Amino acid sequence: MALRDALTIVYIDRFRLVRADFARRGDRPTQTWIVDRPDVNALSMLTEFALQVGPRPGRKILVLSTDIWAQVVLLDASATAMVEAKDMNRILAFEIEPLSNLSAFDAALHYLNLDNNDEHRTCWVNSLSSIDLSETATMVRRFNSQLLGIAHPSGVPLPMAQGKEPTAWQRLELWPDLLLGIDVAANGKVHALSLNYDPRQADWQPDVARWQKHLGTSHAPQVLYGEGADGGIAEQDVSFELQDRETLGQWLGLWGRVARKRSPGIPIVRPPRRPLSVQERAAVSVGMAAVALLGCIGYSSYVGHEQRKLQAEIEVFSEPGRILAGIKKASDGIAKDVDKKKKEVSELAGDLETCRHVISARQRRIAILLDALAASRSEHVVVQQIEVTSNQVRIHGLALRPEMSDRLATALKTRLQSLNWYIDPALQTDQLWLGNGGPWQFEIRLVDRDVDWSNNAKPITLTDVRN
Amino acid sequence: MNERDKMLSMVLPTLVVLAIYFLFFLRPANRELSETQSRWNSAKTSQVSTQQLLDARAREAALRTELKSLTEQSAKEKQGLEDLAKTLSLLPDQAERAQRITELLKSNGLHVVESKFTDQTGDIALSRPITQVVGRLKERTSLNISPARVWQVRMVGNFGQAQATLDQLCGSDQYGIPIGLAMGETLEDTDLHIWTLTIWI
Repeated sequence: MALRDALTIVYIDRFRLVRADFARRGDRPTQTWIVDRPDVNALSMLTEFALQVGPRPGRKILVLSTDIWAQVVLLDASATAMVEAKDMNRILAFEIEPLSNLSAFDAALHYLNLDNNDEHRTCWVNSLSSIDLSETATMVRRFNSQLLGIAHPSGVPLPMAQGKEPTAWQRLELWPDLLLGIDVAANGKVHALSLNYDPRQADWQPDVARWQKHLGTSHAPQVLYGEGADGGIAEQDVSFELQDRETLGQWLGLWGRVARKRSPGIPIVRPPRRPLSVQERAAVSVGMAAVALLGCIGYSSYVGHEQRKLQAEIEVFSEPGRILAGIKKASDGIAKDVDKKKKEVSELAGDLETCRHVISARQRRIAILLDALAASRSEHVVVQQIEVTSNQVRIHGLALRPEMSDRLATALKTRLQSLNWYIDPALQTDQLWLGNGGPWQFEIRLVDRDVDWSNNAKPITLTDVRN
Repeated sequence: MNERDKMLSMVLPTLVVLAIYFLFFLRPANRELSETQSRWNSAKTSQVSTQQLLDARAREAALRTELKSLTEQSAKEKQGLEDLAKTLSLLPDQAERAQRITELLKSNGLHVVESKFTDQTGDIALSRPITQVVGRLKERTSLNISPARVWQVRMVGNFGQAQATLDQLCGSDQYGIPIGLAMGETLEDTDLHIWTLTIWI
């Protein structure tokens, strides 16, 4: 199945119907059909007839018809100074009503603002019955196409090809009941002249000469004959006849270029926007909801992706922390073991030291005791008996005076304190053998203390005692 | 139905979809995302540096080394206690020890009247400190300490002889631990005493 062309232009004059199809690109029609105009006046029917002469028309359709009313209108500048653009169509409809015989309420029009000065506002207006416009638009939709608009074929704002496209040019177009002059200056400014009479029946040259003089142009104008040459042009003028198929193709190519533009620079009456049908509204509604749903799903997917990405990064950031926590936990456990071990070592060392000290003391203490007794002996004290048993030592003796046995006990206490003995004061009994009392029988007891496991004891040696 | 109503009816499903999505999906998702973002910020700011990890590992290694050293020290102390416990256990050379002591006594001029091995009863029982030491050594070591026997000797000599003998006897581990000594009164017209020496042998 062949692809549809992008654009179809239907050209209608008093004798012919021309259909030209255009591809998306290219200045020349891909195909052109020319048939005689049937004996009907309804624009929609003429258009339908033209569309039926070939295969399926393009997606967009532009209708050019000489039946359309076209004219350059001068409005009083002061009267339209405060008028907003949206109200200009209505004002123009009333303005042209006497000229076009179209009711202002029934007219569909489009205008192009050509020039504004202090006195006049110049508008180029195309107008037709709104009924014709809507019927044509409806008919076009039956071909699954869209009506781009309807315009008078005059005034395409591009020069006919003459080699290199000039920057400034002028063209006179002779149409039935209309002579249109279009002048494009080098700066792009457009001036137009419309003479509303049949140029074949009237002497139009003086009017055109005045217009050209007014514009001050010197270049020779192109002359386009819409329905055949009629003479009356200067020799230097270049003329084109739309009866010529080659010229017709070139001219339609200019319209094709204009129709593709967003701002064509020519008044084309556009069909009003058609309200959507219930089915279309439903389709649009479902479509919008679907798009919204897809958007939501897409955004959710994005949020989920961001969430996963952040989670992954958190894992990466947290990994050293987890490792550190593991090391700290292990270190804390080891530190506890170290503390426990320190305590154990301290206790073991203390016990060992104490045991050694106790055993050493026990081993040496009798010798130390005898040494201490020898060192503390006095000629007034006689040690008579010594009893060393498991838990105590009892020293019995005689002293001339009572304080001497106490002195011996104190001396022993000093010398033997490291041997873990508790030394009781001397127990004395006066024997009353002498006249002034005495001698005194005494007993000194040295009692074992319990082991001090706090390891405060200091080992003692014989040297300590002798010193 | 006017144009406004038509437009509203057209956009209503979209609005419903958006409202449901906003209320039940977008808000919770955004909240969750915001929380995750906070956790991300927190994780990033509190990220542990390599230096911190190295420091922690160094501390762990130092503690392990210290623990090893302490374990060795503990074993050494235990060994010391076990060695000590062994010295308090029944040794096979008691008779030799008694013989050495007798020779020592004689060499210092002391005359041995009587000697015998005896039980640890009454006054010749081990003193409480020794008992406590033995108890502690039993706790700290795996050795089953069998208390050594007690050897008692009666002899005659003066104070100086006894003092010199005990001086030598106490200065060496090869004679045992003297646990009791009794000195009787001087024998008539002499400086001699009867001595009773009790040794944990």
